[in-house]
Amino acid sequence: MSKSKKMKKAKNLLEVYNNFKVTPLVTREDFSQIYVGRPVKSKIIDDLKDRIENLEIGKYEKYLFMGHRGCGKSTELNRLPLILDDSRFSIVQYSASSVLDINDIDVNDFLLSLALKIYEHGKNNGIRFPKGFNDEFMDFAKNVAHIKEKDKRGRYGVGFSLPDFLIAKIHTESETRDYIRKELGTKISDLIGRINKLVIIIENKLKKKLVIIIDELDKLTRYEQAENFFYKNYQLLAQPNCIIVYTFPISLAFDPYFENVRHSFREDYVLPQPAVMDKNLTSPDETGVGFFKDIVNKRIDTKRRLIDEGVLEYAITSTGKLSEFIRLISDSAIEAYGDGSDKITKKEIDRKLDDLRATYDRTLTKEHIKKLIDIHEKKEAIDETPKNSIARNLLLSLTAVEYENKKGERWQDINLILLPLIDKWKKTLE
Amino acid sequence: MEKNIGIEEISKDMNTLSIEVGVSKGRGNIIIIRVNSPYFRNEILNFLSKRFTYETIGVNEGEGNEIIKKLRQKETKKDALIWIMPENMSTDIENALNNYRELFYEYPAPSIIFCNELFLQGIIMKAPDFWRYRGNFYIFKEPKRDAMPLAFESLPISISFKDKKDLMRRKRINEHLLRIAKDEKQKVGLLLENSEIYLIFGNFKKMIEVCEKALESVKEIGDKSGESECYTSLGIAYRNLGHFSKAIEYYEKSLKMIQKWGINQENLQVI
Repeated sequence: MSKSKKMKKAKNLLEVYNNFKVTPLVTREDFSQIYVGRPVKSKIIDDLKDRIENLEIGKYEKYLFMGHRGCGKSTELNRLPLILDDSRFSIVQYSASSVLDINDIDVNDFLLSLALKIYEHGKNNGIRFPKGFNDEFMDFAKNVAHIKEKDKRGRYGVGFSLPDFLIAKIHTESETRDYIRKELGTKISDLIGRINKLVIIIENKLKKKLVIIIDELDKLTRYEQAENFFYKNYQLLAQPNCIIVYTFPISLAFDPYFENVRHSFREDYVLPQPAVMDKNLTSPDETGVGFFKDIVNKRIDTKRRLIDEGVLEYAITSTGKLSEFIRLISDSAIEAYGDGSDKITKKEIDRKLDDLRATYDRTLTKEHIKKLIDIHEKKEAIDETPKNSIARNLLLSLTAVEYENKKGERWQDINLILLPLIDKWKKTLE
Repeated sequence: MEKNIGIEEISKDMNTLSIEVGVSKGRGNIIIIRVNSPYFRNEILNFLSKRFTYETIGVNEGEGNEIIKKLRQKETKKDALIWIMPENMSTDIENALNNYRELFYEYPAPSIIFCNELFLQGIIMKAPDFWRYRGNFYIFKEPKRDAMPLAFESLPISISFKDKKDLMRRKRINEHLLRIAKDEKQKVGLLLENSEIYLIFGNFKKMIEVCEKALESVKEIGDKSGESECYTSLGIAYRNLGHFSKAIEYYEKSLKMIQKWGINQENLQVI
């Protein structure tokens, strides 16, 4: 995660360009300066916080957290540690890609890295594990990863802890991962037992409950890979005795098998895209539009009138996807600056929208177009059979989007950028 | 002066690009540039070299990990990193872009990614996380005097038409005739004429689709001249999409047939 610098409200177009980045908010300062609370029904993280804080003693729930690309998922997840009561909870938060090779992931290396991250968290919080347990745990980890002490000195140099070293090996070496998978194949319950012991020791010493937040597991974009990891192993993922929030690839939630899996987790949260138009696309959704406007007002000095109200509303209702909207403002700002203008006008917004539209359009096949028209008419993105994945792919590529309004009503439609293409598509199909 | 005509034609975009690179100096950013012709890409690089210092990295298929390694170094004295992407998006590159996109922002200089149309489509469909994480993107069409017009100006089959409407009308008629035509040779003629219309419209993907259909038919009826014609047209289409290895493959196929059978000599100029 990159550290952010203090952001000043933009006073000119170049500052607008710099202030509109599609990177998640990370620090407390980021949140206090530019975070905008999501419209009422989408306050998922607040609900998750309440749930965790009100859990009965001895209960360790697991949650799935998902959302479409660019809807603000990582920002929302980064907010959880900041709002949880830190006198009662100790947070272990990490990205799957920082400890694992996300392109070659397996539940065995995942659980071993989870154990190591928990162990490391204990050490960082000044916990001295009982000697017997410590040695046994380290020997176990070294054995399953086939580590010899000399490797540690020879290859990675002095100054790294054994957990650091092990994680680096899991992250970078396919032969280490192969060995772990072979070794842990028969010892996985042993590993889960050790994770549970680690949790008990840490929770007792810190007098706080552990909450594990794992981001970027939703990055398992290749369907088979995601399916193997979650669907074949969901029972193992539910076993560690600690509270865990797993990010989850939304594409899997559109698979009928999801119904079997979801019951192993206490809740599956989907962070939707706040709607900027009503379901029939007849009028703007004031709440959604207000949410986008607030985001702009936190980043731009409104007194400078760098974008007129009408143009801003036009930009919001033409995109309706948070990340795309942020990009649109940024790209239009640099374009307007290049034109010698001192404000963003409809001309720049239109030019960037046209570019984006044409770029999306070029990637679509006849099958995609047929499905997009169907989604637009039925407000629903469902594939006919589990083997058919057109709707899923359209949601993945953001040409179709799931929206939610302030009443909590959800539906799917095409990306609003593509709306002006509907008539052309229909003619093409005729 | 002749060499600079291309850049002048897109000077507005180049100006915006310069501003964007300038404002991103010293921090990470992702700027995507779609340009199909290597010649024109070099022209853009020449233009940038007068304003910025940069390091150029040519990426080949299978080198996804090299991208990650380079970005993890997080050290540079240059103003920008220029990435020249391969013709095709391979899985390893797709994974590097999608899963390690933050590294581009953590690097102390903006990344300018040059790619062709096929690679860009690969980014949008297969690496959407990277696509939505990017900064601005530029679609630079080759200037009028560059590759494409030369290709179709010298294309041997020439259809005369008044305007776009006329061409559209002709395409519709051809499509209707295709539905009722029984003679394969007649069908091939209609398909190839439509491929030429798609070439004029710049719809190269459709051109490939139509040529592939024609190719199936000519192979079936053993029409060598038609087959060589199809290969040439496929070569032109792939060339315009920036998929040069595939274009060469088809040009070579056509060339072999021309040499062997002494047919379609007029296509030699295109090839």
